[in-house]
Amino acid sequence: MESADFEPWIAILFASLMLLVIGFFMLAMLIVYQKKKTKHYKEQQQLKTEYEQSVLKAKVEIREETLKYVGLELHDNVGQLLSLIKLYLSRPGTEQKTDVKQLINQAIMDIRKLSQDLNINRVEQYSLSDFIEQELNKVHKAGIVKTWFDNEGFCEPSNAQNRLMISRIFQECINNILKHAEAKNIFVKLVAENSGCMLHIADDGAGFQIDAAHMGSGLINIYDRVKLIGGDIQIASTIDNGTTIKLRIPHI
Amino acid sequence: MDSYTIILFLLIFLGGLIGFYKSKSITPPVLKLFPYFLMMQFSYQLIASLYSFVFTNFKSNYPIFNIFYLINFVFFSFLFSQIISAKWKRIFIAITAIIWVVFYFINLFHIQGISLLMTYSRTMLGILVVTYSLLYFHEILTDDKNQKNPLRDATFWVVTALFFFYLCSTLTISLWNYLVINKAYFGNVLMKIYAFILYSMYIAGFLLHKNYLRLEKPL
Repeated sequence: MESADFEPWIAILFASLMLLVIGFFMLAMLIVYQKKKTKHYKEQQQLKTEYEQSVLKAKVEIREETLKYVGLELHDNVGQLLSLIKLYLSRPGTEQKTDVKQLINQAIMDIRKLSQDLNINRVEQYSLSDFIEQELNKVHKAGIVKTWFDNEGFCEPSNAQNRLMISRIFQECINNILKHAEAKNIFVKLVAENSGCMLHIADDGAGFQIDAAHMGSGLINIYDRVKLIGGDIQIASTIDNGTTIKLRIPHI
Repeated sequence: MDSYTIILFLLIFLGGLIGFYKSKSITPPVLKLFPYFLMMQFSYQLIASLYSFVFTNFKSNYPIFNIFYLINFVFFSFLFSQIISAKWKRIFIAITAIIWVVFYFINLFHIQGISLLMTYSRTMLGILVVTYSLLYFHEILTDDKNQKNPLRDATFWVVTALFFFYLCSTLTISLWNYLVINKAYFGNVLMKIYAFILYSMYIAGFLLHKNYLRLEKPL
């Protein structure tokens, strides 16, 4: 009789114990989940901050590049034209009037062009292919390197910040070629693909040894930016055989 | 049949109904089979109870349970192989499931037979389900990509229910002979408590489930 009275209590105790263990187990899993969620949130925030900083940096660098280019153009081009006009005007003669007029027109055209380039927000206003074309035209105009551009399909990042990053990556690649490659030709191809876009940049310059240990800040910046836009970059180069860069731009 | 058994049957049936009602929003797809599984549990346990307590004079219903051990285990191993994504864990589940099935038939034809309750197969089944559950818990704890709240995930509730049910019931069956108190009464009460908790957790899982896939779609 004693045992029969005792047994339900054991059963209730056992059931309560089991429920308590299950409760603790679920609570532990919930705590782990909350910790993982917080960690994930912090990582997302950090990534967002890094991305915003990178966009800002790219913006500043593009402005600096533009100002540098405009400064050089003013000095080498418009400055020369104005000096020539001054020289003509210092020697009075009716036959020179048409030449002076032509030079002034040329100077006006160049200044107008420069004022367009000075538009800091041009990256946000122009399409990616237009920006590439403009940048290549500048290089081509300098006369040292020939440039070739092939645009296949429609390839346009919808996000202006990502477009800015890609533009800056492209500018950095071209700057590297001009500074180090001693190339005669630059071949650029922008191709629309199912998974996004592919930007090929190739040159016939000196090439270089790809060594992560000796990677300059320019290349590190390129890799960082590609990572931030969720893209992928492949650089292939051999000494005396030029360099090929393949940048995969995801649908953004 | 006592009133506790009837309540337990109602609980299983209710679990099945809620499962069917929520099956559209339940993920992963393998869990959509779970309400059918619960209805099968309801049917065979009802048939087993009616056979013993209503239609015959306490005749053994062990053959029915023995047959359904095989069906239950095949379903559980399939369920775990679908909810666990790590390849080595899935291979482990497949290999151990085959070994269990082979052992089941050896036990059926050469060791315990169908007329006795096949406790060897039942114990091995319990150990394997507990192991598979631990593999699942390991996966959700180590997978950083998994951002689901476990308490809003039916899979977690189902696996936790299976884990505790099979852990406790297998231990109880294993320690059966060492119980100093009234075995038949105490064991029966414990098994019913485990079953109540098991089916209640299934129902809680279905009711609390949140469809993360649907939420991730753009508005």
